[in-house]
Amino acid sequence: MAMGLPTTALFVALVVAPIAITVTYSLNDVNFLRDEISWVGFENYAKLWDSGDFRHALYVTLLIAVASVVVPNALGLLFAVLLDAGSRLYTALRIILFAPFVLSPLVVGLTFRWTLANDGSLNNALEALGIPGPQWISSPNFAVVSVGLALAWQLIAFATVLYVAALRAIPTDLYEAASIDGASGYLRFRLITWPLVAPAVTITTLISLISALKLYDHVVALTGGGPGRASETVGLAIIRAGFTQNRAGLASAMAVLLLVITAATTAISIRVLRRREVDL
Amino acid sequence: MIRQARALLAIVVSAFFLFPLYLVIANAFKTEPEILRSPARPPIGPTLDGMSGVLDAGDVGGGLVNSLLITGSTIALIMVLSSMLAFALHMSNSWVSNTIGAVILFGLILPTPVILIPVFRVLKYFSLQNSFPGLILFLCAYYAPFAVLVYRGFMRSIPKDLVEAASMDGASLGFIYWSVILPLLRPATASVLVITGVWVWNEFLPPLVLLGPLQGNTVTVGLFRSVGQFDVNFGQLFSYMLFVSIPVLVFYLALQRYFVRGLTAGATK
Repeated sequence: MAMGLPTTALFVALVVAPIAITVTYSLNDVNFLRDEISWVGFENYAKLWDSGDFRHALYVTLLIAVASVVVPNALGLLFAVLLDAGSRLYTALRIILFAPFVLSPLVVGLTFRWTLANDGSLNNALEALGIPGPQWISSPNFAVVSVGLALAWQLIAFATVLYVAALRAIPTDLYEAASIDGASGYLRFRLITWPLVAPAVTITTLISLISALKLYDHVVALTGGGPGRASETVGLAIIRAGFTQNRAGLASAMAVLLLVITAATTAISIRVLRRREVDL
Repeated sequence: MIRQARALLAIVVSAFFLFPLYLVIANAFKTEPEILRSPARPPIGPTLDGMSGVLDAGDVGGGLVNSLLITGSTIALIMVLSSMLAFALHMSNSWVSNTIGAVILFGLILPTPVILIPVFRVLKYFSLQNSFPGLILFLCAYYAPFAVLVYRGFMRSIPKDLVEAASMDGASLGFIYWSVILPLLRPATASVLVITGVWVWNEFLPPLVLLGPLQGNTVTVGLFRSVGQFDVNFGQLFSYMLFVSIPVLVFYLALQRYFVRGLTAGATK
């Protein structure tokens, strides 16, 4: 057991203790500049409740989280079915398609900022088709959509590759037996494919959920949280309150809420998705 | 006919996913007016102006060295620390080790912004704030849960008899770990190295906060800080992004098989 000690100590010092400190800070008024800390109870949480900016950041984060679970799962599975073939072309395409997932979110955000600019490639292409493109970055609603798109672009790539791996692990004789029994394409998908990719659904959902709830890099690179604070996520709000405004107590209250939301949603997802894995 | 149509559709979908990366590569070798006129066009008569410009103007070189140093040390430490903990948890079945195993799993879902403020305070307590070792230790602790998960999943395929036989022969657990277990873990280690390597390289918020403005930047922080600076010179901005991306892309392409295998390790238990 002694071999596990160094890692456990490191984890306690730099992950477990900071979580405990965050909870403590959230119940205090903390000023690092004057090195003061004073107990205020739930005042920071009450301030958050009253803050329209924070409620909006929470709304943006949860909206992107829901979209990030639905879209990458759906499109990932669709693209995986398309790319699940044996030839070299498909092997090469699968390797290429995963590349977005390994790119820095900052790089992804910046290229999206360039592509989605008012006179960027996307709007030029739309214009060529006779469709007037929206203001992807400078309109409050579309800024949120753009941030979601940049994250989804990476997550779809991830989901596709994961689903292909799951599809390729399904024995082909299952499909053959079902065909002989006269099962239609839809039935084969419903009864064989969908249940057997269940573990990939679990992993994709969890990774997407966690990535969306901690969203920071994409937003900073793409919109900076703007226009105004229209596309600000909880991650951005925490860092701004904690570091830019030196309000560590308030930032910690946001952090505790984010942690509780993350823990609750992942726990529920695991429970629901694992049950599906067992049942079928 | 259907086969060709499917291949075409597959190529179109993949090309769509490659487009932003294509933009980075193509525009890194174009001149400023060319980029502004037709950003999506391939570089005709490629120029190295952007690349040499960003090398002269910015701190790309230093940033690359710092990122390599931080990523290399972090993944080497993670490999040793996580496999040791995974082995200890694998061999023991006490309530202590079960608790540690469960608490470690919780680390998988932790968003970095949640703990960075207190992490800075803890590092300061140990006089490790604004330092490479402080950042490296934090990243090790933060990514250890994932590595432990991969290692534990892989260890299920290693029979406990093997370890018991070796300890019967008088070998210490440390010796067994080093000379029996670690070599067996090689495929899992490849997954851990490539996945955490890519994640650590791309980390932005922890180096931004924990290194502070006085230390050397990582390449991601450098890119972020230079955005305002290069707003007028897109050739240099795209070159900078290419410098940030090349190392991870090469690393991924070299070990891509292990990347996917490691990510599915948790799913196929």
